[in-house]
Amino acid sequence: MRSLIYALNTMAQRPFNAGSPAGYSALNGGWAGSDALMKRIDWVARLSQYVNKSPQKIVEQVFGDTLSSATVQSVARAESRSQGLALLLLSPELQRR
Amino acid sequence: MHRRPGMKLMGSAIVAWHAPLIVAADQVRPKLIWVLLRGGMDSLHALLPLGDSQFARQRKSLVKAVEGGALDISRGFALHPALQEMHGLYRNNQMLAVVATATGNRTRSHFKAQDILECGLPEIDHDSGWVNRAVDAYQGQSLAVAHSTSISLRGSRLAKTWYPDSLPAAEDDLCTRLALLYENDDVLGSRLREGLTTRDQLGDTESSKKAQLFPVLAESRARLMSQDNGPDCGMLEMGGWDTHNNAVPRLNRLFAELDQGIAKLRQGMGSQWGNTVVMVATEFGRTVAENGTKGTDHGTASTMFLAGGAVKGGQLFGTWPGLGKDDQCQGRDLMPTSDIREWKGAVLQQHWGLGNRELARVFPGVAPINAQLVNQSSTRRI
Repeated sequence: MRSLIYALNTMAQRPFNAGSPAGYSALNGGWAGSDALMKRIDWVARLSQYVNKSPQKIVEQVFGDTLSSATVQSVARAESRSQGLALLLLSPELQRR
Repeated sequence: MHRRPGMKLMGSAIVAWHAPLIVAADQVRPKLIWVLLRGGMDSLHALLPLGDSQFARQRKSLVKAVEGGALDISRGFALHPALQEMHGLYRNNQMLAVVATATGNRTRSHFKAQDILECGLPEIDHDSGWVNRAVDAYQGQSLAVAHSTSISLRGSRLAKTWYPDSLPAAEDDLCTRLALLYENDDVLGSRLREGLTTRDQLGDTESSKKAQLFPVLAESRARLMSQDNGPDCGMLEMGGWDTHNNAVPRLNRLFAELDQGIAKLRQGMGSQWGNTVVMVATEFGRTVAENGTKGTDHGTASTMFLAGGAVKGGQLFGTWPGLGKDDQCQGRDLMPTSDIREWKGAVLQQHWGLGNRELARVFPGVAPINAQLVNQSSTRRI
């Protein structure tokens, strides 16, 4: 389960770690930061369609108590599993790992 | 578009599933498209019971916003103004609606309710979807396509999945929920706000990026299914329907997007539209009354739509339970007056020619409703 999350997170980073001037982290300043974040959101949203695991199970089994209650609640209230997974992968905690 | 390794993995995620081909080249194949709306589509706002005196009183602002432009159907019902294609299909007897229907189990959880709808068995089995069982029972060339391996298609055979190459923008609803999640994070919050503003400002030039996902998928689905020896069955999904707040503008957009998708299906299926049934359903409807944030909450009964050239349309089905306090389910929801599987079973029976024994494997314990939903035709069992 951990390796799945690691893989997904790494994949989510891929378009942005291309080693080119376009590969800015979402945490940098300026337009590049927001553009990179939007691309990452699009990417993760699509990625999440392919994973069948319950995001709530992932939260329990991989992260235990280490996530904020805001993130946990957001995942629980998602309108579909894939949206829940996208929210988890895009949560502030995972964006900063 | 430059393909990165990750994209290649997903772009070629094709898993095949088919029964032996015993088809004559010129035979007409009945096509079925299952459209699942995730989030609890507000059916009372899709097909408005304007003729029910209790309705406007309990949904003042929602009704006021659209009643002027609502498109007449029958029995006092009217379609949301944005559902123009659907209305046209209704007028051409290619669309019908079933009111006040629901799955056999009650829950207010999106995840559970979607599982129940997709599985269709008395007890949830995450590895058995109703579409898979239906295709299994259907002895034709049974090939199904979807863009994810959701429960509906899981089962004894694999499912073929396919996704268009371009990367449409993530749904607005995801971005709205992220904005909430990033509330206390200065950097991510401002990046998101900036990013969303930029997208709005770019408007037309970025229109391919902001292109709505559902019509794009619908077009691809239809293109694939209408080819010679194309799949007999396909699944489409659309999210964003969980309108707890700000329902009016959100549903304006969502219904327009759904409607465009249906139009794309009709156009894409071309000559095959005449033997196509599109089935549109959601995991549950929403509360009868508006809430305090200009929206509605999770409900029970909803409306199922059937569209297609093979549909015996121009009719409204289902018993209307009324909207009075005593008529509501748990004092808040539209009361279901039928099990949605009864209608799905009838479609499988009439469109794919499944017999009673086969239907019992798809929906055990649920008999198909005795109503003509599909045009009678000689080209049934292949």
